[in-house]
Amino acid sequence: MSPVRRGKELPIYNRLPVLRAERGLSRAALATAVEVNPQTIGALERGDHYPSLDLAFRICAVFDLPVEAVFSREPFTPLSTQVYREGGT
Amino acid sequence: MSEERGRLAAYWDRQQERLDEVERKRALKLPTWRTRKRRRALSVLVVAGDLILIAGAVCYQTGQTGAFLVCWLGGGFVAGGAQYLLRILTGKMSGGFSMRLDEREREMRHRVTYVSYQILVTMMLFAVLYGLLVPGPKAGGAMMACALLVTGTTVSAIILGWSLPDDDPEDFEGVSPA
Repeated sequence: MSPVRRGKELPIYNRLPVLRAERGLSRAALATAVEVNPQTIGALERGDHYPSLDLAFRICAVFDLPVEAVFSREPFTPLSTQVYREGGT
Repeated sequence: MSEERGRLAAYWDRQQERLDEVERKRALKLPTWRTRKRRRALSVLVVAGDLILIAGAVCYQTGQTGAFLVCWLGGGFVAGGAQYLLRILTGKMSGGFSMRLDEREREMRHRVTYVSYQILVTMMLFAVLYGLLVPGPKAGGAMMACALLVTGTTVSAIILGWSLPDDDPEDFEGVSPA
């Protein structure tokens, strides 16, 4: 489902659901902001579609975060764990 | 010249906005039908209608006029009705302009179009051979070509209808009904 040929062993994980929830954004609202169909946001969240670099940058611009904060080759640890354990609080 | 081009561009933009509006309304139609099961059932129905049309073309070739009319009208009704519903349920991927699709839709549409093009070409080759080799009235080959052409044009929607997953209700949260 990705825009380029890619082996199954190289998935792209993302934090879209949690980032949307934090900001109270619906899929439709995020889709409007990045000019795609809401179903494409759903497909990204389910891992059915990997974004192009352009779409990844547009999504990151909406959240005002760097690409590595939103997309990763490795599964993300929960944000709360990252903030409270790794942040040393 | 440039003024005329400007008018054409403005007309084209208006047409695209109109089509977008049609697609937005269409995307919210038949909400309870937007499941893989229903889409697959409609895909099977389109295939059945196409096969009836092809059977009608064979009947024409063998001189069974009554059976031809029944198959032609019946197949057209079944395939046409199911294709109309499938068109609603598969959205703009089966009919919209590429420039109005996003990257996921465009990628999927291109893949489906490529497969359906290959199938259509094969069917046209079969139609040519059928017209050349099977004895019967002169128009028999044309009727078969017509049935296969109709079948070929429905293949994109059939593949989309078969492969699209259930719609996720969360995708439509916050989207106002048309």
